[in-house]
Amino acid sequence: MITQKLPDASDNELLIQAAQGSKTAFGELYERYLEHIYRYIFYRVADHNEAEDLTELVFIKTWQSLPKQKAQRKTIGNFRAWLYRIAHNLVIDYHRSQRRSVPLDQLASQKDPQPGPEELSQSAQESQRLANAISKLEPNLQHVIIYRFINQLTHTETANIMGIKPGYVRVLQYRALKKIGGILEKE
Amino acid sequence: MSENIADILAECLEAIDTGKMSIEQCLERYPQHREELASLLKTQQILNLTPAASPRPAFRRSAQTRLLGQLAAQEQSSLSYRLINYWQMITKYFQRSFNMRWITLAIVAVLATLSTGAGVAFASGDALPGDALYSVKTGLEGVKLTFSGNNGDIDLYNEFADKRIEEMQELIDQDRLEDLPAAVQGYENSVAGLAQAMASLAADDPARAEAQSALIDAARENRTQVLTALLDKVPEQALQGIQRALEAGPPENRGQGRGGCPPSNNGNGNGRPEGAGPPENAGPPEGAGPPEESNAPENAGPPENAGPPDQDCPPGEGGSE
Repeated sequence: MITQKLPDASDNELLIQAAQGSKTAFGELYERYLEHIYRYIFYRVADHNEAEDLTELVFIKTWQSLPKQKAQRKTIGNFRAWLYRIAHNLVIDYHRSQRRSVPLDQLASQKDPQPGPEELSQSAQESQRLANAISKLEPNLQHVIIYRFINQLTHTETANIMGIKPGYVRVLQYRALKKIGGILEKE
Repeated sequence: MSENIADILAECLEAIDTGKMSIEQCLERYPQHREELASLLKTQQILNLTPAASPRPAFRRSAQTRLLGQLAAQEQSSLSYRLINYWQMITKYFQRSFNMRWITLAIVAVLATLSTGAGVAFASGDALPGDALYSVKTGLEGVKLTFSGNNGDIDLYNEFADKRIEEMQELIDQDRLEDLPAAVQGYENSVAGLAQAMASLAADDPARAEAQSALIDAARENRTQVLTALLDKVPEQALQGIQRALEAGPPENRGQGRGGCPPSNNGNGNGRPEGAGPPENAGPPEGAGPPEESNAPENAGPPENAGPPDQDCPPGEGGSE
């Protein structure tokens, strides 16, 4: 049997191999989704260091779940959606811990980026500015902006990850673009 | 041609993305929405042109190294998994043959400590419902309960309730929602066991029960906060389970009329733990009469079957294996 080259393998093929202990397969999944997950988290927490920590945690939690998939001979229907849900849960935990540790009246000022503009490159400054704008949206509008316009997913893929109908994604997309346009204009 | 602005926008975005239409062509196609559409498409262009954030190359490398380290650690535990499967076969055989809880618990203790070693028992501490080692974890909890006194039971049931909550959190974080009901069931069992143990203590030593109840209330309040926070995270299909767990308190209102062993989700479909005797074997507790008013849930056993948890009841967390 000819072994399929890993970059050509589907997510599910890699997942099965990873569950059987293939570090190479899991490494490929990591490479495939690292940027996506990092961006999703960064644009939701607006903090590079936190985004790195949380991204790493997403993959660790994914790995921890794999033996169970193997034991029950199960495959994950949509690996990408699964990863995003794990990331989503970690972001919720992060925001909750922030709310607990920061008094309410200080929350607004904390939205600003931690490094000063002089410490960031031009592109990093633009990313940070966008992250700050996104963080002012409601969570479901944040999701749509990140999935559709940052991670370049289709309406159907976005609907699949968010567990909603594509028609509703279109509605949220309209609202999100309208709202973030207003926010960016004011800045 | 759609009249809805959200649909028109989606249609334009797709057409522009695939090169079928330019922005200007799109605006010409929908003159009645031209102004709004132009503004929305401009925003979309800004988003597309903004450089996407990327992880630092150093992070990319170091995180991958750390992840691969995790993989290696997991491989080392695979021997434990094989031994555990062997252990599960043996215990199930004894349960079917004798249906005696004590034998099962003894096997759990002996095999966990001798055959598979203390390492497995230790490793099972992090197991979640659905994991191969989860039955070891709950089995060891059963052993602890078996050898504890009534006062010890209260601490243990309290500890087990906390553990079930931690398991729920971890399952939700890992998006393993199919295993969530087992953790919720385990939590309900722990809360029910706690209520029974508290009722027994109140009968034996009211002053001590009063002091203990303050601690239990604080722990319950903490668990309620954690469960409430989980409501934000779980998708709709799992909400009911968390709501069920939230309704599984306060302990003083529950369990007084809850008879028999707390129900257990052990995967055997009968709501009873593996190795536990049938409910009819559970005798009524000494001095415990049927309650005047029961707040027990629908699946609670009849009061006349009530037995103290330290005699015939399991730890309250049946394994899911």
